[in-house]
Amino acid sequence: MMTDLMDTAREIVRQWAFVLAVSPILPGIVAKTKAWFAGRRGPPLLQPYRDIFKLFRKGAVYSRTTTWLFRAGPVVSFSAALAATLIIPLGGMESPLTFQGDLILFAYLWGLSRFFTMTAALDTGSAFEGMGASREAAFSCLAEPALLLGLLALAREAGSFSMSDVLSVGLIRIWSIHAPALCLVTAAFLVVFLTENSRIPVDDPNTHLELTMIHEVMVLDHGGPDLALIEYGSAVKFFALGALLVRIVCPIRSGGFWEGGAALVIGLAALSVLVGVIESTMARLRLSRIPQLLALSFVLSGFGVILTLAAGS
Amino acid sequence: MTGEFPAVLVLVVITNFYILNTGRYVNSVRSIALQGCLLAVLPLPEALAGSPQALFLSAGTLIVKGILMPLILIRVIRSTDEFRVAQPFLGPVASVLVGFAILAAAFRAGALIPAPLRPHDGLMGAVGLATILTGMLIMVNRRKAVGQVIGFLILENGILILSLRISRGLPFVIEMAVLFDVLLAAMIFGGFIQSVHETFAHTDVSRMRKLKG
Amino acid sequence: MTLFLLCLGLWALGGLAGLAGNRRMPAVSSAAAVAGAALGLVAAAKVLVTGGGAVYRAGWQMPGAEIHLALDPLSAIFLIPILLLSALASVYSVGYLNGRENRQIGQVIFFFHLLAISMCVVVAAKNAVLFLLAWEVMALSSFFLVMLDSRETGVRRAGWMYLVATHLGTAFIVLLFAWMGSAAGSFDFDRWQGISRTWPHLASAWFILALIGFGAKAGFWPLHVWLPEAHPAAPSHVSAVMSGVMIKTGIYGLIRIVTVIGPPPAWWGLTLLLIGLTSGVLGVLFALAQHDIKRLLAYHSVENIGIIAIGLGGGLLGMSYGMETAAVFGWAGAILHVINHALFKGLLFMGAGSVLHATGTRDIEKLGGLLKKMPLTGTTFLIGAAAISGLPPLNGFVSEFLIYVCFFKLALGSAAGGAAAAAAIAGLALIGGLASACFVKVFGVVFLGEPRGPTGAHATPFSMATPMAALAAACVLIGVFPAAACRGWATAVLLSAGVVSDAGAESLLTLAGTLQWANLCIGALVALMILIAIVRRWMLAGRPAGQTVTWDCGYAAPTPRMQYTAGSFVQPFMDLFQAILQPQEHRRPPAGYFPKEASYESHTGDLATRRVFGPLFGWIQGAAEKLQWVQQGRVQTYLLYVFVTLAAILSFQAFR
Repeated sequence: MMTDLMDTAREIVRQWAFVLAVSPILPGIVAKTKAWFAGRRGPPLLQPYRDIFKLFRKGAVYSRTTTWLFRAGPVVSFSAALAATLIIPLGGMESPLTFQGDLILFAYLWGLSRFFTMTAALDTGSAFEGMGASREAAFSCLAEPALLLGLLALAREAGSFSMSDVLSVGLIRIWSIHAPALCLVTAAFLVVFLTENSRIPVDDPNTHLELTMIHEVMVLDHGGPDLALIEYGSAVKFFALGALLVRIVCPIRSGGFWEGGAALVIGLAALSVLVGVIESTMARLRLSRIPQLLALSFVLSGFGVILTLAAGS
Repeated sequence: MTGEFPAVLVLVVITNFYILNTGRYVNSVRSIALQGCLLAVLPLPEALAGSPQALFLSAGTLIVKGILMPLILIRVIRSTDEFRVAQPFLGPVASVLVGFAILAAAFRAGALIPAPLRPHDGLMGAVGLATILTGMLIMVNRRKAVGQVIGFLILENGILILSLRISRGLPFVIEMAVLFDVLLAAMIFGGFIQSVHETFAHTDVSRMRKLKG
Repeated sequence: MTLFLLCLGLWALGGLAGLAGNRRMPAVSSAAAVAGAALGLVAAAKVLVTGGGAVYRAGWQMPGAEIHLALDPLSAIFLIPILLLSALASVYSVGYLNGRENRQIGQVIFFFHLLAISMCVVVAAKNAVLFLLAWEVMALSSFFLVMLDSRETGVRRAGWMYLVATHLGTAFIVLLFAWMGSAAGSFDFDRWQGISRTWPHLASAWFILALIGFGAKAGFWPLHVWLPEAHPAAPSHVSAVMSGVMIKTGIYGLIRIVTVIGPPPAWWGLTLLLIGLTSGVLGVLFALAQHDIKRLLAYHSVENIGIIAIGLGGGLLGMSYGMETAAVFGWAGAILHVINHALFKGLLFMGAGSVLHATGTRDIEKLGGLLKKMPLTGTTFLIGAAAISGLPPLNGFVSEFLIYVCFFKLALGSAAGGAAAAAAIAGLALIGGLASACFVKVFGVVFLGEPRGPTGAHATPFSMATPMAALAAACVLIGVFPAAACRGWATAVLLSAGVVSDAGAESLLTLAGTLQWANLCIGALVALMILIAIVRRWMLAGRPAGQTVTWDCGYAAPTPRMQYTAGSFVQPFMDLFQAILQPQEHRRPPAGYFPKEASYESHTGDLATRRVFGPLFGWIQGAAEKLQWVQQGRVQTYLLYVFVTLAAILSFQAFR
């Protein structure tokens, strides 16, 4: 029992180290892709590492309006994102913590992170940050059912509802029989992925107009290590939700931690390029259109569930 | 199961949702054209198995539903400015969600169709049923006459899917006749809408209540 | 059993002591309450550990009635939140009521203790007549508590509405008990066990009666209309108890009847699921639209009762499909949510009470920045808010997680339940997202930012702070140690509810195992949070930390009035769900190049009140007015009516 626990702890630390080391490169790839589309050279790939490192070494400035909650927000959202990565299996092996129902925890950890980001935003008393929190709340409560229904469709196909079983090599067989359902779920997850990571067409991470921002406006007042935690946390979130998407689309068969991890990173790099392409070629949707997009993603997930249910009966 | 294209049927459902969601009639018509092309794929396996009627049906569907009718509709829409944007009674989010409820109900109802008529796996029957109901929803939910025409065409597409599944032995002649009926209907609708527009300068059918004595 | 009776006795003494009207008495009564609750909790814990019941029987003169009190595990698990929350609320009331007249305080203490005793008797009664008597005492004592400030018109309206609603529900329960009693030939619950075997065709009728009767108390939509009226009107510690545990007696009654009747058919589960989804979604939607903090919390009770009903529905579906594991998860989730909701809703109402006590207003648009002035209230309120939103690592997540697992198992294991399970999962996710939005709004607007009005606020007195801290600690403990929190009671309760037949069943092991794994994950999350917090503190140590105004896009003189308000926070939701919420808006948009005044106000009334009960009662009134000719105003005419009625009954008896 004790050795088991030690093994698990070692796996956890290894997984965290891997995620922390790799995730910041993904926003770098997105930025590079966008620069390429715009005909610029763009920042170096490793720029996000430098940004985070620089921010970690700085002091901080706090608004007199804020309380301890403002300081707690980044800590909680970063921890929640990092904890969620424990549920995602890297490569062909099981994740360090896996049990029936872990995908519910996976979905709810994002809820935790969001709750504290939003309260920290409201803590500043700024109208802009309140606006961002309000929009985030509205859009995420539409994205959450889409995520859980999509996970349900996958779980029904896999016959198990632990993330490691769902994202196992068994997916290859499922792709060969139920491709339409999986396509629907993938499309829905792509929308959820873009929403949760505040990407175009839902949100624009690079905008400089506070009125139009959603996620970025909520973190306007953070600086120094707090901002570093937020930036790092969003890279980890990109990694975790992206890994879910990548593992569905290419359920690679690989036993080892490092080979599987490397394959996953390649997949994630491809996803980052895709995000860069989307951001370069699409415009941000009008705010009133976003619920329509999210409703469509909900319907796609739901249709996936219906198809799997119809196939089972 | 030969002759079943789950991917095609899923795409038909997605075009349904797209039409429910979109606010522009031009986009709706383009999706209807896409739906027509998708329907043309459905009889293909039988055509390949050596059935010339099926080939005719496929080609007819492609020409009538995929090309001719959308062209007519686009002309009608272009000719009258006010048709550009739909003004549905239910908002896009609500109508998509109602459409989803219809879809779920159609899949449940697949089991209620009497046994000799029941498709072997629920997909085709359910998608046909859902398409018919979605067409009705669109007809109910749109203010302008063009909306009713679009809803009607979707409804008819649903009937085609259902009949393809149910009427294995039914002569294709009937199918072809129906196809041309629909074409005729679309042309008459188009003329009707244009003349209504010229007379009243709008085609808001909800205002027809005024005609009531 | 002696312990339980002693507990009731102590509560009774405390209540009578309150009537003495002495300034010291509140403290004495609450001391009696705490001591009594401690004894009662020991009794309940004993029952849960041994799994056996304790019985007290005594004769009673009334026909069919008997004083038959017994604690089985099902009663005990409901007794725990009742005693815990009532005792803590009693402590809270010492500080909360301070400053009112002695006479009023005495009234509150007396009726509050009466309410607590009657709730204890309701869950322990094994005789239908005794149950009904306690049920009625419970309704009346809480009615008097709601009517405490009856000089206000709003309070009177709320009180009467509550009285009417609860009695309409009771009417159905009386009918149910009379029917079941005559079918079984006894009013003893024990004799009703498995009654559907002798009367299979009546079981569903009884289920529907129980659903309406107990649903009115529990607050199922659309029978919830009294909740958002009565809970804000009552003093806050009473709202905490009414919302936290009193409405749960409705859930208890429903569970008791369902388990007594016998094996449930699938449509019972589906009905409960549908009711739960409706209550959950509509409850939280209407909560979002409220600006009165206590009214908002009352709507959240509707939502949480909905979640409990969803869990129970899943449990019943699992039983009827023969999927024991799913049933175990559904039941365990529902019952744990009963306890959890008592903890966090009690906490939230107490927090709202502290805010009301300190600032004198319940309107969240007038508040702001209270976390600095009331740090303890703010922090505990935050814990309650995160817990009710179902976020890990707090207790709300644990129960919702169990309910989710139930539906995942249903969806994976059976084709018939698949669609229902998918609906439940999507519904729960939507409810969770909306609830979290709503509590971000409440907490953010009330406790964060800058004060929006000139409301003075003072720190919370000790007697009010302690219960809140205790409840918050309980929320955290259950959330961080879910496996330990469920180990004590799950087996005994599920056995006594007839969900499992064997204490060593596979399904129970699965439950324990899943909880253990969840515990490990949550532990990792908590450890990580502590670690990151330490790292952050270590990094910032010795570095300059500046203080400035909030960055408002370069605008250097922000005022509190520029902050986002609750109304603006929920605007996207109001747009999205306009068709359901139908808010009444009063807007005066700015006009001209130099607009002087502009305002916007929205008010959201209850859908069921407006669309269902308003027209219904209007129609009844119309019908009654048509019968007005019966009222002649002459005594002789009325005597004639009496005479005719008597003659009719006699002749009916004679010629039968």
